[in-house]
Amino acid sequence: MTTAEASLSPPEVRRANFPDVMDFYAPGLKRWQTSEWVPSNPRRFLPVSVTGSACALSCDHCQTKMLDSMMSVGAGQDLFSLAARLREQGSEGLLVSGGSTRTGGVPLLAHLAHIGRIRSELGMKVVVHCGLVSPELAAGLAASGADGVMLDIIGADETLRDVYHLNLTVEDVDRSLRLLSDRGLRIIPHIVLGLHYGRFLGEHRALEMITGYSVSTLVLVVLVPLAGTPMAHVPPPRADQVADFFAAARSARSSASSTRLRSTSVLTASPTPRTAPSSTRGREGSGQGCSSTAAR
Amino acid sequence: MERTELVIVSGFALALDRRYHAETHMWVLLTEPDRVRIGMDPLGIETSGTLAQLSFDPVGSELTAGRPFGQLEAAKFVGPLVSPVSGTVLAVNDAAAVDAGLTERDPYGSGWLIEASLSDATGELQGLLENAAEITTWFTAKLADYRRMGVIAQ
Repeated sequence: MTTAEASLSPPEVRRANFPDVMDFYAPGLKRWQTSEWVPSNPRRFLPVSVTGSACALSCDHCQTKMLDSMMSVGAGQDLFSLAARLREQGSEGLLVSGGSTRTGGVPLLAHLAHIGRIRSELGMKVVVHCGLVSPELAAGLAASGADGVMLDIIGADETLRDVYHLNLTVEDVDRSLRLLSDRGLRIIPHIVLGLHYGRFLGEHRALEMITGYSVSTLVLVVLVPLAGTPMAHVPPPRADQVADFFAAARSARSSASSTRLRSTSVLTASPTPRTAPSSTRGREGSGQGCSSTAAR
Repeated sequence: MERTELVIVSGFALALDRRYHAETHMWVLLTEPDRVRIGMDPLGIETSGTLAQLSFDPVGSELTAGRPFGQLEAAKFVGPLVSPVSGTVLAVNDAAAVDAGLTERDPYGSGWLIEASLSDATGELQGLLENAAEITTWFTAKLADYRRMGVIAQ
């Protein structure tokens, strides 16, 4: 943020850096409907879990609850055949996700061969929740032609340890970012605001990490306390904290590309999208508004 | 109230002592000649995922068939509770509003949603499924459809 911008209010920061248009994305992980807005195709962009309802981490904020709302690659089925079935039913894209391994990644290697076919033969868009990646997975994702890779950027070792139950550090997260960036993949990082039991801890460091790479889209997820998890009764972060972080993110300048983040999407704890003013646009299930299970 | 008679259809309990609206997955139980109790059927609950929050329009509100009478927030769905009939809200289930899990645990009993008077005691019920055979056939077909589409587990 420049000195001049530091004195601006969050809306002024937005207007200083972005056109006077706001896009709203309805996450594909849930069906959404209001009296003002009904999705024209609720199955347009669907999340698919490659691990069913299984996750080796069972993080404190999710405990596999998010996997319940995903389609599963069933026994005797592969990702391509599932995608073909969904294509017949009107889906135009997939968010390929799943539970995590003990090392913080989604076991995607066995499914990569299908991604290219899904794109070329079915004409579907494929965005991937990859979690932390190995060099092999980063290379495979690049070869697959995935339209985007999403991962949560954790900026505090305590959060990795306490919330994710991972014996890793922030440097390991940064390494994954570097591996994906080096392969030229379109990275769509997520920062979960309030992930450390409702309070801010590593969010600003996560933002600093992201600005070290060529990133055009950043997804900010406001913690949604989920029933049946250790965080069920954690209050989400305050709205003013969230607004301040948005201002910081919108002002962030990528040191890698010398350009500002072009787009900042948000997924909030609010269950119902507000009525959009005339200068806003609604979109459904783009995948950009989807939140990650495994990568958190 | 009499004990609810249930049949099991592919693992889902189905009460045959009431009527169903095929599209909204709401059941309608006639409690008096012009008064009904309304709730969600188990398939509607299953496709919504774990229920987190229920809210209802206040007592005295006008009900219109096909229009919302409240809101539902669940793991897989956030949106309106749609009324299967027209009339006036006479009571809401405060216990379900406090604990949405009640509707999940006992959808035909203590997890009911609202009670209402009917604007037309006979006409409002005509579009609902009433016969046990047609209810079972509809439920079975819907279940198969949702499983085929992957909306619920195989």
